[in-house]
Amino acid sequence: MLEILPTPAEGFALVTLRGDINSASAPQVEQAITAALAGQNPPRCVLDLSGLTYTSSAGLRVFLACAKRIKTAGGTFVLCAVQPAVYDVLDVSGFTRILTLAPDLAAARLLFPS
Amino acid sequence: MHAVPHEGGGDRESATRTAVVAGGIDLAITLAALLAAHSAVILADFCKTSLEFMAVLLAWITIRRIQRGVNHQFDYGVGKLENLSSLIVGLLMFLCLVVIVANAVRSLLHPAHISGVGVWISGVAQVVYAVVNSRLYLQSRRLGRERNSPLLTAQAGLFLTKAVGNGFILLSLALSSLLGAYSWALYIDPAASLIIASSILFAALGIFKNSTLDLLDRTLEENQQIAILRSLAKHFERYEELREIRSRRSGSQVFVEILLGFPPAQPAAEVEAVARELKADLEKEITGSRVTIAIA
Repeated sequence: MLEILPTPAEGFALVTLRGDINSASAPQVEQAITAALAGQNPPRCVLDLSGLTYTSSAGLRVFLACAKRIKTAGGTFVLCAVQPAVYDVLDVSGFTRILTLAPDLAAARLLFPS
Repeated sequence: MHAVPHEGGGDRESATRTAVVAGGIDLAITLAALLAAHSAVILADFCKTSLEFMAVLLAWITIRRIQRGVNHQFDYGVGKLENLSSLIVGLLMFLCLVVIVANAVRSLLHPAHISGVGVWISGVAQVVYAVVNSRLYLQSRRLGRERNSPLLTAQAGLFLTKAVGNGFILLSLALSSLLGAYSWALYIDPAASLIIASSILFAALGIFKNSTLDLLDRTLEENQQIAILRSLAKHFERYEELREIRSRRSGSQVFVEILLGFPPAQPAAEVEAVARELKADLEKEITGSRVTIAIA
């Protein structure tokens, strides 16, 4: 079960994920990120993963595709407050080397100077 | 017409041929024991042995067909012979289950002492075949993992079931014979056959489930999906867009298709280099895989 909460924020798109990402819910995550970035140039997105307890490879695929798309457009993509179980999956997949991770939302905000 | 031999099939065929020979001898001995004994367990054992012999024979025929090579009429589908054979193995196990349960119920309703020289024949045979089946199980399991073959994995399940069955039959015959003075000992024979039936059921369910999902072109397991993503992360800076990842299994072969986007101005040689390296990385990491990198 996954809850996706796009939240208005100053200077970037904030999407909060709570629950688990699996093959069924992964497309919804991608749609939410795409919708949140609509009209942004360059695209700037923060995913708040403080409530995300698990992600399958489908979720990782969404992170990779979004990170690539945003970076190609000259934007910034940050994952913040990653839980240990999710961090382990990101690490095993080599994603910790290519994604920007912030310990919490406050640290993520500092990456987007107003 | 040129036929392409299937790679790495020699070990698999050898293991299966050994299993066919062993199964044939087991069948002959079990038939002799059945004809010379009155025992629910020995009857169940004969039925099971007959079906298992047919299963390994079918597996051997399938592996020989695959190893002879394909003639490009079924580029993707030839691997499904393994899945179909595994399904037939599973179906034969269900048939065996029905025979054993029916016989056990009959014996429970009308219990009788086991008797006949066939009991001794069966006992000795169970000891020998427990050793043989255990060895074949370990061999098939190892080859099944190395070759990523669902057929050999199914066979390993079959041999394990046989080895466990051998142990139970031996124990059942021994207890039924030694404790014949007790009235409750009449029920040891059919009860043991039901335990054998339950182990067959579990093995058959697993084989059926896995083979059916593969025949439906199931995508790869989670650990292999992560391996794909790991390779893509490794080459993250070298492509512009990740469009799609598709994967499926056909027998022991795995097919992975990745659609990537590149900047229009990027030279074709560089794009080719990225595709080549990514393909090599993945085919090294996922055993039996054929990777296609498509350019969007």
